[in-house]
Amino acid sequence: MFGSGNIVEENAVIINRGPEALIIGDNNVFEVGSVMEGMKIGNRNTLEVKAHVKAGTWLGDECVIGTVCSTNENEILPDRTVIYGSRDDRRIFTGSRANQAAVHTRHLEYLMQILPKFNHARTSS
Amino acid sequence: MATMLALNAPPGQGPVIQPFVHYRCLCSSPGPSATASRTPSTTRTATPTRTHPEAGTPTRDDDNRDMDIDQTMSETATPSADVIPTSAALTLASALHQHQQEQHDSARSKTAAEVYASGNNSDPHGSHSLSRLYFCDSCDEIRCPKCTQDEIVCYYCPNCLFDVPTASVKSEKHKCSRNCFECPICQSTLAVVSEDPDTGVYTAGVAPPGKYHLACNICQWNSQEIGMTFEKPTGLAVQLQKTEDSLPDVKEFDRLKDHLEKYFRVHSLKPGLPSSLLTSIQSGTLQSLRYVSSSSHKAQQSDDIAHYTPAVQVMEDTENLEKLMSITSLSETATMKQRLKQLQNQTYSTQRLQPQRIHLRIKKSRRCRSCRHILVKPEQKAQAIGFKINLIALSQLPNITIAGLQPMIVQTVSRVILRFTNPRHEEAHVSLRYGDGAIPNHGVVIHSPSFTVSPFNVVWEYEVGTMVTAPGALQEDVYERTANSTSIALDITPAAAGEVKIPLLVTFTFKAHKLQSDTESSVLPTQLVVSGSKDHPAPEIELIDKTVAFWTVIGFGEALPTFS
Repeated sequence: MFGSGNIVEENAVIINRGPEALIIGDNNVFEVGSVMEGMKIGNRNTLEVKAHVKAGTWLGDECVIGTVCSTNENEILPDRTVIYGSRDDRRIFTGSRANQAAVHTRHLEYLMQILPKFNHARTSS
Repeated sequence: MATMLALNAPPGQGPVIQPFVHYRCLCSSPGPSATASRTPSTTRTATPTRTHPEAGTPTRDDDNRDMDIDQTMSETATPSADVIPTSAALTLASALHQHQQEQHDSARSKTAAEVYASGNNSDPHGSHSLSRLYFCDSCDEIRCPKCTQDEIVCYYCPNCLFDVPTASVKSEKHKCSRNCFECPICQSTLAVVSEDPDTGVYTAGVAPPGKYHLACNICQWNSQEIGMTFEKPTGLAVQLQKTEDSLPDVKEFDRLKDHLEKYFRVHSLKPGLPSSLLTSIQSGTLQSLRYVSSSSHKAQQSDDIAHYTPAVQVMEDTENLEKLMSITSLSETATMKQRLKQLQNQTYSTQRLQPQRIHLRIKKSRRCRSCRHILVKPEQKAQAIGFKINLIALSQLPNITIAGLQPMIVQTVSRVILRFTNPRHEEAHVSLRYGDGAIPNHGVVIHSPSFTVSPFNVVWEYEVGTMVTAPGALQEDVYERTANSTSIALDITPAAAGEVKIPLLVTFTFKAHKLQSDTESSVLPTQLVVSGSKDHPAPEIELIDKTVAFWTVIGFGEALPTFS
């Protein structure tokens, strides 16, 4: 199940490895090369370049999985978890992420203008 | 190649010994050329270890013990003692350049025999791979990192690439004085972000005036978490200066420095000593006092004269102790790396970590210790990564690589291909000689002891496939000749099992531009006008033959014992 306002970039992989339906929330960003094999993901998360969410993991809201970082299997990550660094350190961040929501909205608007210009989609008829 | 050797090595033998090619620098082996050429620099350099003639003797003994017993070494030790006083007298008596040149030339002519004796063993101690070496073109000798000294050229901030003038480096405590901060959690660079109070939505970039704060893009840390906000987006370091100066430890340090400065000036100690004095006062151990030796009573004196009462009393931190005892998760404490970045209080709690200003970096230049010429000099600007002068051995000397290797078995002949690559733009001549001072002494037959190597030409790099040229040169027994490299074959018969290392004396002859400073006669104005005449050829395009002889130690991996 896919929510609205998600941005899925090139070479991102979203695979359902579990028996149930994979639930994806709203306004998430799956950057280039990211792999999503978990069970659930909430809203406004960011999977940065080549991030890896392993099987069975639940992601909350507003999490950030950093570049080339990965989660463990069968984990439940609380809201606002940040996984960063070469050793996959984590912390829960407080304070809102500056410019996150506004930039995401602008990103969506830009894509909605640009993509139809260069990728011609067939109208359903 | 490495996997081949791994398969051949019997199991359970530990790590596989890899083949290598190392070049020997003359400074690691004693000889009159090394010490004589160093005497001009004794008066100038501050480091007393290797440049001092008296200190040369104990190091020579160390080297003797290290290297395999070489009888010729003890013989060279005695004549060198005679050479030092005479050469020192020469340089001290007349500082004229010509005198130095004569002494240098005579010392160089002596080195032929001493150079041969200096490296005639297969001990890899004191030998380096070519990538670590420099080549001084005025001494025409290999220089290793030990016989070169480095100096700081400039200080710059790695984030904003701002060249910090040397005068303000010390006052800013070697940190960037602009808006460069590093995150206390993950040590990555912080970005200045503004908060737009009207809409309540955060925007990036230079926005309408509002409060600014720092944010980390990697770990999402915010300076608002510790309540650090700024009025203006520039000059953040200045805004923090006031709070930095009022820290109790900074004030304490200034008070302590003022108190002790009087006593340092009274006793007129050398600048190198105060640090050891302070440690001896603090620790009170006899070892540090023994090092200070003569001034130990001075230390006690200064301790007795005035008792310093610190303004800030350090309390027993019981509440911190209780907090530490009740820690449940790792995220509540700061890691060692985070604590050591914040030297003023080295706090245990993550809440009290503050963003630090970014530490400056330096650019260094390298100088030959004997002739004081600069070998490596980077560009002054922080953004430029090139070098003004780059006299590294890789671009001056032939690069020897092992191009073919057969597995080594004791008392069996195996063929080895060595490739010599000439980095210079002129053709060069190489002659090889096997040193027989190695223990164990393997049998080595060099098929082509003397050969030429073609020059390096950028155009050939773009040609696909190797060019096997024989441009009229009649060099037999050369295994292979490609664009700017020549490969030769060696037949090696290992004498004993274990690592096979052979010393090889390489004599490299090349054409180089004659340096202007080398010209004996003074340059008359008429010389420049009259070009190409027989007696005074134009000095700029003159090429002379230069010869460099150096030892290399080449290891071929392990030799297996015979099956029988």
